[in-house]
Amino acid sequence: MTCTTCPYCGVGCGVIATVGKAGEPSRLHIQGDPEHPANYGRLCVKGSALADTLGLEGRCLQPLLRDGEGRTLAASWDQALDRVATGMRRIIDQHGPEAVAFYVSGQLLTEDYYVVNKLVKGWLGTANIDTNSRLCMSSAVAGHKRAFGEDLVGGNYRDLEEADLVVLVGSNTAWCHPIVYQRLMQSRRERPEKRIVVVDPRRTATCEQADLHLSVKAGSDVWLFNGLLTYLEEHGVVDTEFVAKHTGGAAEALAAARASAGRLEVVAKACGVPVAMLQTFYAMFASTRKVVTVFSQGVNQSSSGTDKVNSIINCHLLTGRLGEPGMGPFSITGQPNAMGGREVGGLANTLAAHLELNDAQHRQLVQDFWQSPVIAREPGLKAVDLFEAAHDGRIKALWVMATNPVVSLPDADRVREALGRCELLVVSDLFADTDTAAAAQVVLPALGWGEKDGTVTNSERCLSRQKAFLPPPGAAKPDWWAVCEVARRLGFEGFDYQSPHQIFDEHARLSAWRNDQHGVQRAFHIGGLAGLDTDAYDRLRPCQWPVLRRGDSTARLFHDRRFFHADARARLVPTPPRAPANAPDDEFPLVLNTGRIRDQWHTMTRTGRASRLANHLPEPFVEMHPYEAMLCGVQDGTLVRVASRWGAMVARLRCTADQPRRTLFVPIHWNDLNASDARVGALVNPVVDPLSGEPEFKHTPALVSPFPVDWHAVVFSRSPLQFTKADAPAYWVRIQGDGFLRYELAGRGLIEDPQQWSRALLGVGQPSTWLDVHQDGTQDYCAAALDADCLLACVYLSPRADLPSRSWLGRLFEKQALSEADVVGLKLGRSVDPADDAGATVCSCFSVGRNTILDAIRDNGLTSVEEVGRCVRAGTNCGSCQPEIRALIANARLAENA
Amino acid sequence: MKQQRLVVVGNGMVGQKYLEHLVAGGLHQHYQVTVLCAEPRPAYDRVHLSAFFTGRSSEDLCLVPAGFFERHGIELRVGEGAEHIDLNSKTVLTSKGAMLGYDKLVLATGSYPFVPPLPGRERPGCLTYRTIEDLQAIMAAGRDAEVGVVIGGGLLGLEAAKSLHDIGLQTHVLEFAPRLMAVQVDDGGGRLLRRKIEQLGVSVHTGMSTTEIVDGEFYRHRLNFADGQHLEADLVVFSAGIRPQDSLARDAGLAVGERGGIIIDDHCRTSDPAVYAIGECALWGGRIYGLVAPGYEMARVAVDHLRHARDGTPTRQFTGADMSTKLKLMGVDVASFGDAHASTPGACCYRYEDERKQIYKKLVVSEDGRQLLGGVLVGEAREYNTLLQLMLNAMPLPETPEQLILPALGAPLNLDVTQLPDSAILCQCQNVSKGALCQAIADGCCDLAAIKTCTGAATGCGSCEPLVRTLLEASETLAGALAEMDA
Repeated sequence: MTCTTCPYCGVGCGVIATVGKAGEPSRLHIQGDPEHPANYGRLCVKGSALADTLGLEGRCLQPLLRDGEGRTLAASWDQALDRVATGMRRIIDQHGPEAVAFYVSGQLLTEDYYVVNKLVKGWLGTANIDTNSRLCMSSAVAGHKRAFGEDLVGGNYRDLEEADLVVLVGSNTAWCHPIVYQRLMQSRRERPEKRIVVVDPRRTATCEQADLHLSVKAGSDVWLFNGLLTYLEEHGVVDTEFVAKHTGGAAEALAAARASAGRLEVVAKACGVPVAMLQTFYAMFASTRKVVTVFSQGVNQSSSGTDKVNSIINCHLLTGRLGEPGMGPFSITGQPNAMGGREVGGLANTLAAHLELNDAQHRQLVQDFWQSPVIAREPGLKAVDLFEAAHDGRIKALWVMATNPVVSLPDADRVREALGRCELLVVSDLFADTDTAAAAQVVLPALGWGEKDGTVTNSERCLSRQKAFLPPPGAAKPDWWAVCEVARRLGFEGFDYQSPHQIFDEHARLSAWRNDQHGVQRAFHIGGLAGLDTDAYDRLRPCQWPVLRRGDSTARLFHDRRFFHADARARLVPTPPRAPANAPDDEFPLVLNTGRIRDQWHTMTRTGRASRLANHLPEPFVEMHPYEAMLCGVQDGTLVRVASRWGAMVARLRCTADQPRRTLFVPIHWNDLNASDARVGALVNPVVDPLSGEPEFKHTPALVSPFPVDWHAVVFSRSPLQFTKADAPAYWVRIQGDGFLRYELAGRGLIEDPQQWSRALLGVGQPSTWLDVHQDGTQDYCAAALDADCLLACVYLSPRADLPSRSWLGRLFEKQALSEADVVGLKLGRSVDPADDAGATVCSCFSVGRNTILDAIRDNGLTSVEEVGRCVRAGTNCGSCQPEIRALIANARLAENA
Repeated sequence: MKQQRLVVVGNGMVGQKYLEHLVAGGLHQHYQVTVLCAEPRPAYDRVHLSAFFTGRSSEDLCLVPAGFFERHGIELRVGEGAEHIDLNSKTVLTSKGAMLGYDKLVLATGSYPFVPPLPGRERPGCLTYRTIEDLQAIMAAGRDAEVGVVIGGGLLGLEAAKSLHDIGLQTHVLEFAPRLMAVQVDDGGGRLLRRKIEQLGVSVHTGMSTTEIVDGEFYRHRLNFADGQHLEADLVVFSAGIRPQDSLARDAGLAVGERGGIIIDDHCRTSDPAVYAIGECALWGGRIYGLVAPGYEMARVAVDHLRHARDGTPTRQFTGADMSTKLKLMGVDVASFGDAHASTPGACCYRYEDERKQIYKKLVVSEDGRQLLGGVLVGEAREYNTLLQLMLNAMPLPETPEQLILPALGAPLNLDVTQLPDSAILCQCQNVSKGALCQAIADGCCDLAAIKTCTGAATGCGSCEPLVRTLLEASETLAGALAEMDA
């Protein structure tokens, strides 16, 4: 039994992993850690399915080298590390250290992060190291620094429970941070007077239970909060003593707010929200002292992200609402170790241990501690600029760790080009076939969750251990080890760590180094965790920094009204609002927004492997208002092309009035391995916030047009289909099933001989039986390959899109032997017994389908989520499908009334 | 003998119903029938107009079966209205300049939306909500609009508001009266209705009197109100009631009411015996009927009278109509029947309100508590049919009438359909009686679909469907029992 931490979102839930005999992942049992302060035993659907993602299929188990012709050769670690070190040395010698860059990830553990940052800034002497946290959190970091003098999240999750008003801004908490959302909902059940407001252009699952949903226009948040700041002042809701004694800049911030948002009508127009609704929200905020404003990617991923953050913090500073239970601004991070990466300085514009690059005293402090030969003096290239520099040849060597920028970065096709231009591209990953690793000259096999060992810090400053409970597979090694090995080969000293524990100890000591009034005082201080022995490190229980003395844990910052600017005051920052960088026009009239879905994580390299996570939303999609779809001439459920000035993709259209007019939503997850053309990153404008460098993922002008096809097919197969880019159908998606793969296909032109086509497609050797059904008078065709009574593969082809139920077909693959009725069903293309068709997955934890839930509601007259849970279990584990169950109950009631 | 000429002016829902009855009675063979249809398309379902915004096409809404006119030899002149009627020469001058003679003339010209005489009412983007063309105009204007406002919080106004909401506009409803649907619901029902509609994201402003529409500062228009407040919007839809389309008749010298409407008698005849008027253009008993069911009844009565004039068969009369309605407004069930406002002297009320589930129910009963006079249901209207039948058939109320609207704690109280008289009209839209339904069942209609095809019941608003089902089930039980006896 191992206590560890979940590797997905920034909630950072504690997980207990129990390994069965022989350490087989299949015998792994995962449960929430009842004592972890983030989740107290709860887990969301992704966390619950962790065991399903740990199989070794497709894992990169030894270093790979790619030769000049693109051939991949297995290599030893020595060969691979030598190649990395000599390549780097050559490039540094020829072009200087600025030609080298690292692009790392919030998936790294703090120890990995610390070592790579140390190598780059203290030994290579460049600051060209950036992280995918740039894409998600850097605006919050910049905003925190401006307001507090340091990147500080003062509050904690308990504050959300204790608050009387929680404002969720740009956060689909119900899907993206499910456990925090559940804690919030539980606290509301206990105190029904608690109010919840959601600020989000989309009507997301999070809005279901909100008291108020402000569907603001994309990018208008600063107007909204400037309007609030003005309102608070006009209504005398100002903590004058706090403002006078502990802040600066209030007058300037208020003047800027008044100038831009002094009239409610102006705010209403800018935000696209009725005046009365603004008044309701402002009055609610004004009259509630215990208010927490939670913000996430909807705020950060903007060309004015930093200003958005400060416009929110301004309102809390003006009212003195922070530093006490149940109040404060609260940034909630996207990744498990986004905050850990910030602590070690893994961003191009920070140094280490919350110290700054552009401050000589800070540089001296770090260099003295490291005893390093050099220290970076200038901020390095931030993510988008970094890949642009690779594109134009300034960056020649790039090492990417634990992230997939070809899928996740804006203007991602250009990123792919940039990678192709690097003289040396090193990728450390679990998989050698990711879109990014496919371009690498050196692929280093990394350790994954359950194999690696170290610490992470979640959104509430809570540091906890991620621990290994599985043996390292093949030749895979920790990232810190690979970095140290390269450092050693470059002739550097100071990288002779034997374990992550030693790295953590150094990191803890650095945080405490000269951290007092004589040196540089900063809040990030974990000196109390220095000097732990290996055993104590392994037994480290979650604690919130600062940790000055062993056993400390700090629930809340700012209680003492002390901030970390030189004058110890906080700053209100003037935030004149700016519209998003690229406005929609006649050619690209719609605004593309991107984000996560409930059951997938990032670019699906891990969650895409779990069949029970695949069925909630199996295909890449674009959401659009039905009226907008009508105006664009596209129909619900059909394939459409989504394009921007930067790129294009193909996805299935989902019409929903939850999506506001003139906007689109596309999830970020699909990549070239599991879909023909669904990388939304290729469309996103490469526009960034001038301070934080965070890209504007939430606002790209785009258009939607039909993607006409002549036929549709669904294929189930126990082995992967082999098609190359040349002979692939116009549209395909690969979906992981339980013991099979499902493909949704669509193509152009007539398939002259479906039998031949299906044989070639399935490539099934010689099954004992082929069933072929060619519907007379139609072009409908189906084929199934059986081995004795076991289904090997099947394909349904039709000019129409209404192909057989996927959940029913999936069930047939779970059977060892098909019954006679099953075979009849296969030929008919539908289940002989309608009860066999569970429908699309709603509850992924227990794989409960839509039809099963609807039947239960109808047959038993169920009226609440709890009753549905008791009856069919759906929604009783992670609870993230509860909003959907609620909607099904409402629909069933409507249908009944009609 | 030369065939007589029948001209029907208007091919709306009622005009089309008239033709259907004409054909059903074979009368079209005796007349040379010409239909003038000013709109660019034949009759369509105006009641479900808002479905147009959720992707239904005008074809989907069409009420005319394919080939109807050709098959029955009826001449339809689409896009051609009547300009002038000469009662003396019995001629109609059409908008395309044709002169049509008639022996009988039927006016089914319907109504037009009332636009209050506000300064600024004709600004571009100030529209009405009645025809498919109106809807197309709203959709076109909605393309670039952000805020829409509907003037009028009645039944049609709320339908219009739903349409604006459906196309993704910030939507406001302005109502002059202190509550929504002032005609149909009382204060309690109006309050709940408002709350529910506001929860859907539509802003409701009651007691608002618009004085003018001028240029807006933030949006295209600014509506100024009598109390000094104002509201801005890009799109304004007037839905402040309807007015009978009676100008043709008025110009021709037919008798019209003081406040409009072509005066008709119990046979739907106007002051000229050769001319009938049916539907919303007609004034019977000093009253305009703005619902489709009474219009359908007028169509039937007018055809009946035509036949009577030919063969002397007994004729039915129009004796007024029940204005009870049940509808779903923006997903909210609303029903109003009979004396909803308890204006009958001595009337007493029972009220039940559940603010959590958002349900409001009111019964109006006679002074002695024996008769149901009317009621209002908002948020849930399951009992509507039961209550309507109790009222229409003057059935005695139970000792404790409140149990009719209280949530069922024990077994639900259902109307025993079998207790209703055969004459009870179960389908108000298509005017189908219980007797006719029982006959259809006896003749072999064994499921709902068959009954719909055979009798037309439950094909309109559908609110009688539960009653029809109960009748079907009762007959099955009976048949089962008989079969058992046989065995």
